[in-house]
Amino acid sequence: MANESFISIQDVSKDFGVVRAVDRVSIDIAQGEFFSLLGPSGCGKTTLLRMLAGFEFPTSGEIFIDGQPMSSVPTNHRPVSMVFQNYAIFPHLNVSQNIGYSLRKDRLSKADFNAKVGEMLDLIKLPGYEKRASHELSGGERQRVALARALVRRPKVLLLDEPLGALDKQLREQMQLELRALQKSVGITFVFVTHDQEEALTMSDRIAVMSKGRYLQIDTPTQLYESPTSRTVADFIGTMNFFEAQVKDAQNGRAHIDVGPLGSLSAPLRQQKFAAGQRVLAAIRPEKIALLAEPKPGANQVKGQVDTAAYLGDRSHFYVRIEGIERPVAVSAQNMQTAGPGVGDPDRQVWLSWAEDAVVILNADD
Amino acid sequence: MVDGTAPKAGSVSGAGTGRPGLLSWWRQLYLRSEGVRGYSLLSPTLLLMVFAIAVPLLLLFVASFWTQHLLDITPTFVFDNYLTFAEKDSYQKLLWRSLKISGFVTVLTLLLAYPMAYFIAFRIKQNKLMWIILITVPFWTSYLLRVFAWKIILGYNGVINSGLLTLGWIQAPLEFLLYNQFAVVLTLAHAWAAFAILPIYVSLEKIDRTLLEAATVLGDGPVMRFFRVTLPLSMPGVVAAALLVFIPTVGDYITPALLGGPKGLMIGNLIQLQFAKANNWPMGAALSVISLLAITLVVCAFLWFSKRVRTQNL
Ligand SMILES: Nc1ncnc2c1ncn2[C@@H]1O[C@H](COP(=O)(O)OP(=O)(O)O)[C@@H](O)[C@H]1O
Ligand SMILES: [Mg+2]
Repeated sequence: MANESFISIQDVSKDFGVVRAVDRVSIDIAQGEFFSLLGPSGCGKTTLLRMLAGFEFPTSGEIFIDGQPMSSVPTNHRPVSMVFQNYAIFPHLNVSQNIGYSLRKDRLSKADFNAKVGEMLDLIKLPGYEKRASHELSGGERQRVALARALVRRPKVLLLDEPLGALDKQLREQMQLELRALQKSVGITFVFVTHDQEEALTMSDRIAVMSKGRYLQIDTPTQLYESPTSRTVADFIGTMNFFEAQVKDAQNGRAHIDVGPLGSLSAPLRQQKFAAGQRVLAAIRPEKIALLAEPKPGANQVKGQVDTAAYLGDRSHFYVRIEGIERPVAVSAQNMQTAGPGVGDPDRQVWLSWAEDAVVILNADD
Repeated sequence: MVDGTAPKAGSVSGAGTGRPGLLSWWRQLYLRSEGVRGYSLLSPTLLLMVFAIAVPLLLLFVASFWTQHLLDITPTFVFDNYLTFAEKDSYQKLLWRSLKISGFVTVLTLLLAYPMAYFIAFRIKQNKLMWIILITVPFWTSYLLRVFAWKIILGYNGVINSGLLTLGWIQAPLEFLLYNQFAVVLTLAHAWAAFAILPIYVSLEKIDRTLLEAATVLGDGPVMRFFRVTLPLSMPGVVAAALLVFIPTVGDYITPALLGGPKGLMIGNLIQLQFAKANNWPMGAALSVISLLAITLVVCAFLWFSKRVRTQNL
């Protein structure tokens, strides 16, 4: 990619009175990247985005966009545009006037203006909507118009604050794909705020997982899912089984840990350092565990009893009780055969098995 | 009831539902038709409007075609009064001046009220209600008192003149302050300010703040944003304020009578004269009808114009 720190957020904090909304965040975002800020409500995503837009200014720290410090640049002079959660379509203007709102200073001829607006309407697949009044638009159409309005002058950065939150599920999934395709075709850097982990995983090049004003991990969707670096991240993204464990030894990229009832395990290290005897957490995703009717030869398996089973059509969720472990273990299995009585029936005795590399070791205290 | 001993089948129905005739017919109509429900709710007001406004207006209209000589009113249908108005330049001038003064009052009031409403809507975060109450405080005293207060302020020996004399900035009292159109415009604008502030405030308060942020992020500075978003979206309030100020001030006669002097008289003073000293009620009625029509015309033109402004993209 062209510029690895096209947007550079350097040690930025923001206080509202006594509330610290953003706490010493440093993030570099590359040019043309689809970057998501993911986190629960109230974790400071909007505040961070509004500082990029210039609606708020950092209490401390500095934001650079395209190499320029933004501390004295007002919103209307920044090379950014924004799509608001409620779309903020101007109610007194029609679709064409809304989309062309920012073109006023270009002093285009009427024909050029109409051509640009028409081009944007084609892009968002609403051709012929020029003269529609804003109140004649559906939720999805408003969302598209807001997008076209923000993109018409080709900003260097587009900020999106939960733009899909108000849409119903089907439309939202469709818009996720369209938005992603659109971003790739226009090549503009997107900073996308969402509290929906699936949405972030589907669309982003990289994701910053935030919590309480800080970010916990910045990574690609795959890395975040496969190699979370903390319990909070692992918990927030997808489902995760955690087991208390103790390190026996850790070297040459592998650790041997003692997981109580699960016995002794070996797991890969991910740039982590652990001392022998340290208390850690062993984490395994539900879909990385196989449910077996009979024990198979080899290690990495444990006997249990099915507690509850939930049939979800394409897959089933099981909770399996294991002696000596308090919480039942979650197991998710693809329903590859037609369902019938079988391994997953409640109270059946089963064996759980997993691959060595499926185990993630996390610090016990964060 | 003697014959009430015979048990009727199915007579368990609740009160009213079993009663045939007018009441159930009305009830059905009431429940089915939204229009009927609406008018029923309105009915007390509607009655009052019919008897206190529509009927008198109709009488006024009819009377404007009569003639009066001394104490004798001749109820025959003639256009004499309207012809008189067409012939008398002084009458036309008075109507024209009234519209002009009210126009100035409206513009001045809007110019004074808009910043005030804007301030309360956008800058005041707490205690907005207190600010609104403060704005209505002048209305706690009578209109007449407020007019007299301006007389004291603007008068020959008034506050302004004596103040400036004491400071030595002027040698003789300024005479252009009182008894002219300026004094009338100033006093009326002050008197009607609250009527303009409130509707403008309401329409500003309703504006979604993210629209302003959207305009900013799309490249507008504060001034451009005001003219392209805030002002158009507050137009309903501005229009309401303009009408609330313009319509009643055209017919005002207390302020011009007390502060206007001969050059500041308005159509209201002439109408009052016809009903009182001149003792020509039909002429007064005709002048009233004429000024009513004039106001209607101006208001229609204004509404048409403001609609154009609202839907225009700058
Ligand atoms: N203008 C403000 N004034 C005071 N507190 C604010 C303001 N904006 C946000 N906050 C606080 O900052 C924190 C982060 O808010 P926000 O950035 O909106 O979170 P998110 O978008 O992740 O839900 C919250 O605790 C919120 O109450
Ligand atoms: Mg938010």
